[in-house]
Amino acid sequence: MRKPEDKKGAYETREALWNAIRKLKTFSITQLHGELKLDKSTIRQYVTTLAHGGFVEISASAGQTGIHIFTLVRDALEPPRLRRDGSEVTQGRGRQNMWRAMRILKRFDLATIWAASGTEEYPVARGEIKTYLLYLAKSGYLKKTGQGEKAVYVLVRYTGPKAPMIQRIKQVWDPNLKEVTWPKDVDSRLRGNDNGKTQHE
Amino acid sequence: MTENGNYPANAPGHGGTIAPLKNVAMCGRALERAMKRPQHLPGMVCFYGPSGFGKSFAAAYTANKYQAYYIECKSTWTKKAILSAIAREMGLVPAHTMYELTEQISNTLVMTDRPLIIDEMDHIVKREAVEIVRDIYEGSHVPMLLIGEENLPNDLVKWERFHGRILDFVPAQAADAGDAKVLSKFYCHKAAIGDDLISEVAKRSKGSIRRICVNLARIEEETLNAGKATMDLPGWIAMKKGFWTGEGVVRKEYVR
Repeated sequence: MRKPEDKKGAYETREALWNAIRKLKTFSITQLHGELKLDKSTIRQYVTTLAHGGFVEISASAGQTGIHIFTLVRDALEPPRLRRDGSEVTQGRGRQNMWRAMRILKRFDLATIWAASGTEEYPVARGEIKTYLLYLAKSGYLKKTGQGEKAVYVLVRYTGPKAPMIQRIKQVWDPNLKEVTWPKDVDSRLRGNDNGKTQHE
Repeated sequence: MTENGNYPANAPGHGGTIAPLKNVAMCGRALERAMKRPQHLPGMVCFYGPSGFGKSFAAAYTANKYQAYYIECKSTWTKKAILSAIAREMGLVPAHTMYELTEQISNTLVMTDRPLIIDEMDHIVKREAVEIVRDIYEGSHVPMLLIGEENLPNDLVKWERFHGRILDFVPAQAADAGDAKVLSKFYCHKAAIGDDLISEVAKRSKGSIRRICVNLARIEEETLNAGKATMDLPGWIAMKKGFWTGEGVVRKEYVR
């Protein structure tokens, strides 16, 4: 079970793991485990996918027990999001593309942002845009004028290049600010905390 | 879900993409040429044209397609502000000096190997700041797409050392009936609009993508308001709603 994005501490994210790998360049699983608040199994799994994806290589195996020493061979700014076989995870690209299009157009209606967001590889459905607009307007990123399908939206709060996420418990998480931007009232957020089964999207 | 990209392009509620729009296609091809260029050729391309020609559409599609970094310059920005904005757009914490910023940006561009799109390039030219763009290019050699107004190529001639690093100057084209047809899939989602009316919209909008969008949206709205599901040119003329051509109404007393 994955922790929701807003419940993770600074030392238990993939980002922290990736930053530790970038800092060490040559490392073992045990060494990473010492630096971070993560399970060894979690670390091992991520390092294995990185090896499949060609980001790290086994440079040496030490001792009878065969402890692997890994070396970083392909660098990246953001932690690579990979499937177990090392291929790239594409989930979230649709939203990322919508967010980027909004940033470029700044002022748009539903039809315009729909037209501007899709590519052949990541087409965007009209309903998907509608949902995203609704949540972004609620959480104060967009200012909406007019009603219904012809309403015009203006991007009034651009917090950074990463697209705000709608989590599975229907709250908006901003990965740029690293905070929940909607709902704003504490009560409903606490209710979200109590629900141990929630997953982030 | 659309995020996994398994959506067939002809699924209901789906209008395809704006890739067939002339300017989107040209802009994308220009950046692609820069991305696939042999090493000895320059890697910057310049896409320019008047406002309303769909440059933003082209920028949005191209940025998404190639996962490019995008920044839009403001008239008030200093050289340092431009650099800081690029750094922030890349998710970096901007360094303090211009020298460090340039290095930071170039290094990150090399590492991520993603193209950079600079919109409203005119402001950089007016600020006499083109050298900073050249420095970033020299430090990274990543493909760059510079977008600006009609005069951009002329303005850049002054900067000889910069001008020589541009692979291609691509002028934005006026929109035609084919473009209007592509846009009608997005703007006339609920009403079926005849090809004759779409062609007329393209003609009356005088090449402007923005006017085509406004007219198409209006036609759909009026058609649905009239309780119809289809509309063609004779039907639209009969409704006497006209077209939005972007011209103000000239009051008679001022006409000599």
